[in-house]
Amino acid sequence: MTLTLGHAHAATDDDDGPLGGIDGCSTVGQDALRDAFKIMDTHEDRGRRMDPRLRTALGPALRTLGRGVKPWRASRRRRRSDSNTSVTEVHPALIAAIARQYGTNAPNVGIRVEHTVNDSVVAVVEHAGAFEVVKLALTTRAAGEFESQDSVLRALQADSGLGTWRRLIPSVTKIPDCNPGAVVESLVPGVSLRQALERRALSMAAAATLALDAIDPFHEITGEDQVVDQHHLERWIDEPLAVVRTHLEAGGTRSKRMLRGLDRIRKELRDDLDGATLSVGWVHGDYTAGNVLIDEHLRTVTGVVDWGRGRPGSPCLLDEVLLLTSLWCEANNVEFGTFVASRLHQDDETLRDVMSRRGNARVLPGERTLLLLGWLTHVADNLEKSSRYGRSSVWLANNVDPVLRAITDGRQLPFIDLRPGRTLCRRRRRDVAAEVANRRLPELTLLASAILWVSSLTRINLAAMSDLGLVSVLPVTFWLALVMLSITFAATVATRGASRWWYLACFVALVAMLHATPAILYGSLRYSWAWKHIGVVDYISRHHRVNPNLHALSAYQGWPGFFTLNSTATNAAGLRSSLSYASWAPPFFDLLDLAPLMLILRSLTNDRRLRFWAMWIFCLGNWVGQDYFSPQAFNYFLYLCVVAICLKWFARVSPISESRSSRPVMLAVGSILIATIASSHQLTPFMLLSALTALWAFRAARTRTLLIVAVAATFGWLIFSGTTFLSSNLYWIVASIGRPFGNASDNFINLAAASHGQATVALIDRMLSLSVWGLAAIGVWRRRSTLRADRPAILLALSPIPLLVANSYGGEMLFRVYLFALPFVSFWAAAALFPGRRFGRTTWARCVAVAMATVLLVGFVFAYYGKEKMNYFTPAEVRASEFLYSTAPSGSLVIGATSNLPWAFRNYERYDYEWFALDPPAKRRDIEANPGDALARLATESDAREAYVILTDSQAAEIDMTGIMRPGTIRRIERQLDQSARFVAVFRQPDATIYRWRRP
Amino acid sequence: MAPTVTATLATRRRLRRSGRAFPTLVTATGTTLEIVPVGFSEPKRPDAPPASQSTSSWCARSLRAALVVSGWAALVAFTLPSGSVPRAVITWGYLFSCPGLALVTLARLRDPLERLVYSVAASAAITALVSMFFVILRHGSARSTVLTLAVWTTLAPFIPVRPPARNEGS
Repeated sequence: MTLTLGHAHAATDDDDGPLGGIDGCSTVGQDALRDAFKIMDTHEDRGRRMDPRLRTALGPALRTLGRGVKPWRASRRRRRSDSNTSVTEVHPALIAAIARQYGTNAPNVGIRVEHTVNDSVVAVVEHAGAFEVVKLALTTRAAGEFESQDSVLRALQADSGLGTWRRLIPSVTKIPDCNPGAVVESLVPGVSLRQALERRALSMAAAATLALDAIDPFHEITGEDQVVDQHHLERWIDEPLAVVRTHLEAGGTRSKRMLRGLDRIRKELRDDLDGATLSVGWVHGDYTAGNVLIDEHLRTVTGVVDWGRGRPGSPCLLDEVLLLTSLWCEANNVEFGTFVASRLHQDDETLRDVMSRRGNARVLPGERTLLLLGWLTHVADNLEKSSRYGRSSVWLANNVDPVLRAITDGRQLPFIDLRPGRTLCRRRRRDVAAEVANRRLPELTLLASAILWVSSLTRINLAAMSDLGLVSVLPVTFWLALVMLSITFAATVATRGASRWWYLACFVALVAMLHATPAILYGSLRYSWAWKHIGVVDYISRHHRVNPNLHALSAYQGWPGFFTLNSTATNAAGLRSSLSYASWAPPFFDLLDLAPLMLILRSLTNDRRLRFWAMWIFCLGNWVGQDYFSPQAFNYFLYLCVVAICLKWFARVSPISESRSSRPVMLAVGSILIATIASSHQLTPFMLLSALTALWAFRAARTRTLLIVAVAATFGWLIFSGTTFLSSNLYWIVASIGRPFGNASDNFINLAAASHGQATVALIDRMLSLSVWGLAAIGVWRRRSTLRADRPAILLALSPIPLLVANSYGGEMLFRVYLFALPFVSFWAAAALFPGRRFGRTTWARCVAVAMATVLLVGFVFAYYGKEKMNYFTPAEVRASEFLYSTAPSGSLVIGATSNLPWAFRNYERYDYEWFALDPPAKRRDIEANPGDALARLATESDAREAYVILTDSQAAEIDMTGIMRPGTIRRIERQLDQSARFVAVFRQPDATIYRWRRP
Repeated sequence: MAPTVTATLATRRRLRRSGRAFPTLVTATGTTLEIVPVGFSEPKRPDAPPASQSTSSWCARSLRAALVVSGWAALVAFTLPSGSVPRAVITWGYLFSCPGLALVTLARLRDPLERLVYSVAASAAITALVSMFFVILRHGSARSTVLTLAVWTTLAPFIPVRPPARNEGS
């Protein structure tokens, strides 16, 4: 292999990360440079939250990206939205320049296009293992900038007095025959100070110290004390002011009064600086946090880039002013002009204090002079650098106008305090209040939300529940708590650098409010299917084996993984039954699912806001209620884990250096999860098969091995254990194959027959589902430029849909398809608001996000709690069930309207069951007409010696709400059985009645 | 003559500890270049030896010891009163974290969230599979499941794994 040995910045094959500030290196190795090269802002840095060392191996990724090069499109919108994309847009001239530099037959060239705001395009190029930066000027102005930088760097490199400091400077060579100009620059390793600060790799003070310590020797070597004369003043003040004036007058939008502000600035600066003694020498001219590269681990500066504004004969303090000001602007998230304007009329001298403490007893101009000089240099340089700044009204409004207004009108902006220990009393009360409100908003709203929620719990009267479910009895404070929580979350996401604990607090609060409320209020296990699962666990605990030939709930005996797990957990803890903890399953599983979802979203995007909003929407869209104590909830968690493993450890483009040695272990973990899924649930293995197939077939991930494991496990288990269940249920499974619309429509309740409340709830949950999918469609459209990189999210969102063709799954398939698509649909729905880093940062966008979250929240509460009237079991109903099973001898027949009662299947191997509301219509009509005779006939036809009829309020609620029998049927049956001589009431409470029938 | 570069003291220590070979480059002229930190006098080793257990950190050794002990502690916890909080904490803590952690530790996961999620998921999965195995054999019991898992968590930390490749992280 032939390697081009480039400029030296790092030098060893150290496996623990990059090296910075290495003395005397003259040769760079491929691996060392790859390790030393940190990539930050695009596709390759999806693992932003991971250990930064994981992101250092970039060679394969770059090569892959090189294949994905697309033609340049000058659309501004597209370029604005490419912050998260791997779909690289390359200017044709840049490709030509690269081809000219490296030759047309250079298969190993990998390209990553950097985002720039100036009139140039920049690409990091990997050629035969070496990394270089190719810059192409798009305008003559940018070409002039290149020329300027070239001459500056040549001059500095030639200056032997700079000694070892020159290692911080990149070397530049021109590419010939490129118009207007192109250069190749050696790649300086390290991350920019700004990026390190964004990742909180170091504190602001440490950053300032690091950068100032790095530039100090440069100034000491090149600078000398001079008395400021007219020549200096013309260069430092008059010339930049002329540039600013020219641009503002050309724009024609600034009043003469504002332009007179430039004269006042000129007079003020000249008065202050004339005759002063300052250190004058070379300056960088744009010494801001973005142009200082550091090694995060060694805490050393590895390079200083962007020397286009470098010049000799300038005041050395300029670099210090620009650096400190830029850092404070970053910290306060304000633009340069806004920051300067906020401090012009204050007597605070933090900037001067900081500089004088470092400055060897030098005499410094006043704070106001320092600020204005820095501002003037910054604005004039930017206006000269690119015409975009002058054309941008937003940039002018944030960087030029505030200072001119502050000078001419004396208009003050809210004071930005720089010293945390400073007392607040010097500021105006309104500013203090605003700051407190901004900083404390999440804390205050979260506290208020928690108080409101807890207070609402004590005022919920479950007995007053109507057919709208829990919604009908929720007090206003509960809704207010949810709205407050939405605001808390939106404010947290909008806060740059918000702690991860805040996010955790928001999600814990949301899950607690939405899913722990029933567990706290009810006092009994919610939802009859959860009771049935308790019964299965109980069976395995008693018998220590499974029996697929049981007449009831036989499917669970064929896929027993979840039940054996709970049986083991229950017995290991010495509990009598899993009933002790099953009530808390919904909040537990909902919180648990968020962890693998976070891992998935980290693989899909590095945009923090997009990730957290996707998780929020996932919580709000997850209304289908499969989070109770059930195999599907457990398997859903495992499914998300397998997908997370696929997307990270078996990604097609994997920049992760640790993956090679860890991949076999992760394959083993994935295989174990798949084996558990295959043996624990009937549907999830097929959902997983569909997802893995989609990822493999469309080359979105290297899931072939996992797919083979999944096929073997799924069908192997079917043959081994599921044959008994399949043989008895094959008729409806086969009948539903190939009926996608039939399978979908089986899921909907009959709105005409359902109660008014249930019809409303059904409409709302349909609208909620459609809203989430609609938002997702908008998200896909808004992120259309990144669809290539987002391919896994698209595939996984669509992968459950083919299951609709295969089966109706007992009328639930549509809901399950929605559930399994939801994590990825949520990602796209969040992308509707935050398609890229530059979107969704306005107050308007944040308000829209809060409004959307609130609407989804309301929809969720209706959809999730809308059936609580039948899901809630009163203590009397629980007592009735316990009485039934303690009284009825083995072999008895248990008759009920539906199985919607607690302990529907306790010791169920000993009893027969008859749920008459599920019988064919003719039989139901017979029971409605003459219940005494019909139910006695049912009992007589069975072999049971005794039969028990159990009728409860929750059964009545289910019948009334779903319309499967006429409303009030249960009460009519009770009245008739009371009068029948064949049945004797053995248990009677307001909510439940049990009748006994004896064989004559 | 191979050019040399200097390295920080920390780097030298790491290089000595890892026992890795130094990277070599072949220039366009065919010259083989070796990047050797200044002051590093040991001869080049042609092949990197596998990372031995002795090189692992104190944390890793503690974790391994904890995993070895945890299963047997869970078995001992069966002697505590039924339904008591300490028994539930010890047994559930073991069942839902240790079997998977013993496996996940073999991979060099650096992300704490990833370690946590996969440990919990793999623990639940392994416990489910083992308990299902005994149930299918018609001898399902919590003790036999925990005993099997204890053997697993005792042995798993000592499974030899392939060390990371030269240019991979450790």
